[in-house]
Amino acid sequence: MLNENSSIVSSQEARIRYRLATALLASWAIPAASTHAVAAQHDSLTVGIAETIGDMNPYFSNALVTIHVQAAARRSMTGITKDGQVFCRFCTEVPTLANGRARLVDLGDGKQGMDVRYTLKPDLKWGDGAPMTSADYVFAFKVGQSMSPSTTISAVDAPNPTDVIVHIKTTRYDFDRTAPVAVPEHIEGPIFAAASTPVDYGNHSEFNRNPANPGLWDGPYLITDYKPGESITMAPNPYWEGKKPYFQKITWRMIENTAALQANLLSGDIDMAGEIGLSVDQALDIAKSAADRFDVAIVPTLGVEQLYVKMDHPLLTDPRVRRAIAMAIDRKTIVDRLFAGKVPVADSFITAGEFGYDPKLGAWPFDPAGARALLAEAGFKPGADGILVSPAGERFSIDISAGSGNRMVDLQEQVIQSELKTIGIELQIKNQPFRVLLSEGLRERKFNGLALLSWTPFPDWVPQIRFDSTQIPTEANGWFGNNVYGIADPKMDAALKGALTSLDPGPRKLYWNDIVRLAKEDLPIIPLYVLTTQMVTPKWMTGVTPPPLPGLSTGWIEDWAAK
Amino acid sequence: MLRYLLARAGSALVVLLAKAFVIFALIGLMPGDPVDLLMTANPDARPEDVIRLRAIYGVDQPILQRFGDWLLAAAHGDFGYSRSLHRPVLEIVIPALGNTLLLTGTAFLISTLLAIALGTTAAVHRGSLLDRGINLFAYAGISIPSFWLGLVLIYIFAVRLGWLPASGMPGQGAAPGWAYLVMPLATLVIVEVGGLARYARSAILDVLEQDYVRTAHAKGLSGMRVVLRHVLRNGLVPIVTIVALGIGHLFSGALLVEVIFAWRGMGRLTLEAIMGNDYNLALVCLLFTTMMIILGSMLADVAYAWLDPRIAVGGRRDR
Repeated sequence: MLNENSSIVSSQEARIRYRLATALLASWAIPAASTHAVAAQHDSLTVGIAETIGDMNPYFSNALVTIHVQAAARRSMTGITKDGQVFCRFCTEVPTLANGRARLVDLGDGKQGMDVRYTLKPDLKWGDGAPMTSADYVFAFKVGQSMSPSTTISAVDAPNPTDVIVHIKTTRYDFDRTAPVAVPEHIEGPIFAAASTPVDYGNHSEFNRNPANPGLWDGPYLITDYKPGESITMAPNPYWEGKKPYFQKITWRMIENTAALQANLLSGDIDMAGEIGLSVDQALDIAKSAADRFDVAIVPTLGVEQLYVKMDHPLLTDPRVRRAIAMAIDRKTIVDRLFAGKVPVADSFITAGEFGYDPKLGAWPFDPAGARALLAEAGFKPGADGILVSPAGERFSIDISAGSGNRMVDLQEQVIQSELKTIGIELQIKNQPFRVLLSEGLRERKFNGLALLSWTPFPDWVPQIRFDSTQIPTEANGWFGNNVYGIADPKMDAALKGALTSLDPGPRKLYWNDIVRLAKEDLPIIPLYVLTTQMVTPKWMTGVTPPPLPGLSTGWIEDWAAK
Repeated sequence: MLRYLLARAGSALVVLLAKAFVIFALIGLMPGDPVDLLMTANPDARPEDVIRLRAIYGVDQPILQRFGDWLLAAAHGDFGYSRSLHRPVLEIVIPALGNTLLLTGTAFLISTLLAIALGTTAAVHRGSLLDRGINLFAYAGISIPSFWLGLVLIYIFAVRLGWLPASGMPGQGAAPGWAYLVMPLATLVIVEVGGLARYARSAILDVLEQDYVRTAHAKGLSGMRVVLRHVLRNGLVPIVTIVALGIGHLFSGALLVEVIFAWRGMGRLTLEAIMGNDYNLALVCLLFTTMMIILGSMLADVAYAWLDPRIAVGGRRDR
């Protein structure tokens, strides 16, 4: 009732504005009337996203924004519930060792692998009514294999139209989510076969040439219109077997500038700003200024904002120095001042509630005096200008790098800079465009001390690529690997291997605890705070619940509705 | 004149080729490529994958060879595909160009006409309150950042008054197409008109002090007639330089305004192409801009000759 009244008021206001505008600026007022009229109809939804979507072929693009939007129209064999449990979307039963759908296989040479069998639910269809079969999964694997780095999956078979068998080269705790995401062979198969190279396939793929082809999609929505760099429009998929979606039309509008996105929200040009939208401070601003029109949810995710530490930097090799840095940073104040205390402080590289999280470990406390004592113990002495000098006579001056152009990141760096100065460390802020930081700065390990970045893992994701000693990028290995910190600890390597390959949750938990403990002691990263996802939804809307992983709220888009 | 234009076209071709190579090489030298991104999040990737993927994405060849291949294909009308959008480059550039022309072209036309009118009025009424008012407006336009002005306009006309859509392209919402153009257009006009009006005022002032203007007044011609027939035509010569050179910049778009108003034009497209390591797209966007700047400069030379026959094009008087 309240909503109906609100709509009437809106319409009346629109009419008054129309007359005013007509008097002042002739026909300028027409859009105002139309805008408010559209807002009154709640069978359609316009969502603002702060990034543009480029490549629409899911095997070419791994951008979060593409995954976020396509999750409304494209679903995987299995999914993860909001509390981290694996469930079947298109399969009849989640594979386990107990139900025989997963089994260990001897690969020879003492190696063990796994075969995992998924059975498709009956009568699954693509958006054009064509049946979805196991051949679509085999084809998807073939496409992925042609243009992606190799994976532990060696093959995917289709013994019959409903069974998909995934062959894995090793034992993997996450074997139950290894099925590739299907690609419609009846549409993409001939294009892939005719393509001279994988890139040529991408150029001619129907995902890019005609994403409004309904046969490409298998989720609750179909893409009906795509304007590159502008918008994507969706309508319900008539062949979707799950819960029928409420909105008859969803438009995703790409507005890269978040200040403009915020203005669009306030003006009523868009109805909601989802996860790829406003920053925390902007969401808080909406919560203050337009609390009567919008619900604002700021929800912790699995991601952590963290300082990457170059452990083999001459000034940072001593673990006492890294601990001193961790103890000099007042994370609580950063969170309180910059995020109005709405963001949790992080005490590890994984968040509370994760499988490997150990609440007993806790974080390094904020203790500048203790930090100074640790540095003195490590042989650092104050120089003439108050900045410490190492036992080797080197002035303690290091850099902090982050992607440039983010105001909140700049503020955090300034706070950390001033805090480290109080313990005698000079921190120079040297931000770079993100692509430069990612390539030269991190991959080639040219960052000089610290880098401020975030990392969002999947649930129960073992950080082998981050902390294993074989993953340190060097010139000799072509800068391959993601262990940019340079952590090389045999105990860590063993714990990572155990957590990856052990199928028994008991020992796995112990391996995980070792990883978390060693990360706290060695400090390849210094955790700052837990990342949040912000969702601003209109008061008239319901069913939107932010998931733990940013970007995947659209995995439950069929729950979105008007009250 | 024809010989001059042919010579200029020849030198323009050389400039374009040189610039094409420089752009290609600069983008190639920028750190980070598509394979870097793919490798970042894959625990199973191996060094041999890097080699294979670099070959697939065509970034394993020396810059010179890649440039040669591109040039050969471009000579046959094939400008290639965008790496990030997997669409033919021209299919992306042409609509963006149309959007840019609509926005910046209209803004350019309005701001040029407005600037000439304001500059002339200010010069004719030199030292008056009107002159001071126009100068104040011009300085305000020059000093206001387009980014900030755009946000202020959105706040007033979209958020507070609800008269106009906050941003977007025609056809995106229920508002009529022209409504999406109003605020970005106003932003560009306000920002551009200031500088041009100052040029116009200064040029007209110079002409107003010439003997032939005094003679025209002495002959008893009305003030308006003197300005329109004698002052404006001669005063326009230096303004034409600025205007003609500005034509090239029209095609490069107005990046900040395009970002704020989510306008899909050449500025945004070029930036995204460069940042996304999209060689073909970036190259075509930048080359097109260069070509238009060269054409604008040629146009300025021709316009000089037309406005002032004493100026010889190409070092020779055209008879």
